[in-house]
Amino acid sequence: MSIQDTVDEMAPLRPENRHGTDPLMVLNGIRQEFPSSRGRTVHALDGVTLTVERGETLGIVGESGCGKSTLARAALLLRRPTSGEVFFDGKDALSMRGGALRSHRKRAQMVFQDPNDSLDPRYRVQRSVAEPLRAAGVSRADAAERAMAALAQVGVPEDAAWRHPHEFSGGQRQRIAIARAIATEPELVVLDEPTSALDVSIQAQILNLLLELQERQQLTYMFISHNLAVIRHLSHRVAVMYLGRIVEVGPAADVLANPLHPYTTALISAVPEPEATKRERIVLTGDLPSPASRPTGCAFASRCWLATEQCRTEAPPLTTTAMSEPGSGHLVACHRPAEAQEALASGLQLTA
Amino acid sequence: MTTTAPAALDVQHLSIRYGTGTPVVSDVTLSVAPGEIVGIIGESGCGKSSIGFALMGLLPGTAVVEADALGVGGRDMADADERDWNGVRGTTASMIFQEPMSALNPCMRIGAQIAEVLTVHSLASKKEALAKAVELLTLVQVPEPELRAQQFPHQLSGGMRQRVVIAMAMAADPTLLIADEPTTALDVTVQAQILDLLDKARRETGAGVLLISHDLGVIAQTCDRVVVMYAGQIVEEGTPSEVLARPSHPYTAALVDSIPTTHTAPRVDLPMIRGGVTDADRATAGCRFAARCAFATDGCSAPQELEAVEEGHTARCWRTHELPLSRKEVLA
Repeated sequence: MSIQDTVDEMAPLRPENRHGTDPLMVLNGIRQEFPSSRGRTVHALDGVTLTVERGETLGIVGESGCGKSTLARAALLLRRPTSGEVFFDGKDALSMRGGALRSHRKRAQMVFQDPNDSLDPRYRVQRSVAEPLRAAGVSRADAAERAMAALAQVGVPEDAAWRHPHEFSGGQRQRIAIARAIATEPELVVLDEPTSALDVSIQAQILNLLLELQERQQLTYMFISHNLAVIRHLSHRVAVMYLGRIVEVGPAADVLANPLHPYTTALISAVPEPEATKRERIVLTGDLPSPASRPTGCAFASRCWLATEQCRTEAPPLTTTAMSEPGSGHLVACHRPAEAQEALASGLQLTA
Repeated sequence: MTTTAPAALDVQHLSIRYGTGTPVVSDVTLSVAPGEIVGIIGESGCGKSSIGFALMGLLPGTAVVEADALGVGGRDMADADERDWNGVRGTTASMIFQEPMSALNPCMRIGAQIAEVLTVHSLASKKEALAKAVELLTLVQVPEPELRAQQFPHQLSGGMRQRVVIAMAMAADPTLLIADEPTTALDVTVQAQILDLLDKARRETGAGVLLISHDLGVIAQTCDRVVVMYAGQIVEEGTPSEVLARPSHPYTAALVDSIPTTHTAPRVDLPMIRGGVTDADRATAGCRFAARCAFATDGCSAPQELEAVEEGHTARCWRTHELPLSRKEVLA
């Protein structure tokens, strides 16, 4: 299949969301620093600016250590960023305190990777699902009722409410975790690798459920995964992260079929496809550099087969290029985006 | 080992159960030729890891292993005791585990750990073994091998650790390498490096590789042959292009269909396999997938045999010829 075919197939489903019309959440220049040994600082997030449009799924993809989970936690104020701004529905979320913060938390919820860790093994299912409602000040009786409704939404049988998490399979447990996230009727749900701990057949069930819930409740998703195929399946827009920064962002069809950053290209080529015959891959040498000693210039330069002296000394800004579809909001942080595109077009004959 | 050596693996009618329970592996016949990579695919609980452990004599004492033949690198281990296994593990057959951090000793230098494989089996003196360890680190493309040999596992990244595990597995030039989800804990770009390395290892040493994975993509890109397991049984076998592009068992077809790829339409419901494997499925005399199969009929309660669908491609489904299983072909 040619690249052009793929683009046609992946026509965006919500064209109104293609270019910044109705943001639900705006992250502006988010930095998250952690102290490290010998007085060094780990820059887990190094100035991330992102917009999440109302009703869309924004996929965030990147390898371990790139900062995607840190970004999720910063966006939900589970850990306050070192600097930067978080606007939710136009309001400055970082300045919220007390009651305002509690009612904000109701509107933005999270589903974690491993339901074995995220559900309290000593709580009955109903209590876990009702907990965020209780925290938001809902009365015990109302919370119980709404928890049951949330369980019904995710297709967990009613009698499950009185059992403990260990009595369920991994897939059922993840359904329960999703029920807890939607119980407060949030607008935004951040999903951090919600299917990576599950078998592929169960993964399909959870992905279908997420699509159905989004449709039914007009949810906005921030979907974090290292699995490009899953990201592609769910997302309207995709942001690619590398070492604490966004290196490419834009409509899913543009970013995944027409990548402009060499890292995105390498990532796509590295995903083994079950139906493809054996093919050439771009095999990157080495690992992610340490976020404690971030290289000057482009962070990907040490693994990039296109890197020049300029790449090693001068960090490229995240910006639109001549190669981007006009008006698409397809941005890339690369000095040589044209070459990356050629790499994919030439059938991935490159090895680094 | 040369390529004239006997099969790297030759298993005839292997069954494994724990105590008096239902078998977790039933009547599995499996072979790996020298230099060949054979993949085993299936969901959690299908028995794929139990097979890997059985081939290394690593199952717990409560496990009952029965086989007509358990040929590992030309030695029949069907009635082997612990001493026999000690002579095979690490030398004739070796294993690469999923999580490299737990497979390595955190208190031992990298070089010494690799060298130990050789000294334990008296294959080399301590000095020779340490030199061989550096050589092996070079072979698995660890940069600065002399330096790395002096370091401890925590000083290495996940991908580097998995290279070290592979170096250890290859140290004694084994006939059979068993890789149990070797890349599941790694990122895709590092996964690509490790898969290339496995491919290089079998080409250069002629070792047969048994690659256990739940990732259809990894299997498709790496293996010469693939075996699909369901509830302890082999349900389909063939080359990846046959099995994954023209699945002949409803379970394989459903598995392939349930995975999003660049060819599936985004944001459209994926076909699902409902329910899960139960003990009753494992105990049934008929088709074990019947309870979840969209095509099941009364005839499926009869015992199912692995039968050829085309040359070298077998499936355990009596209805395979009449079923519309090949979604990919229909679409193409």
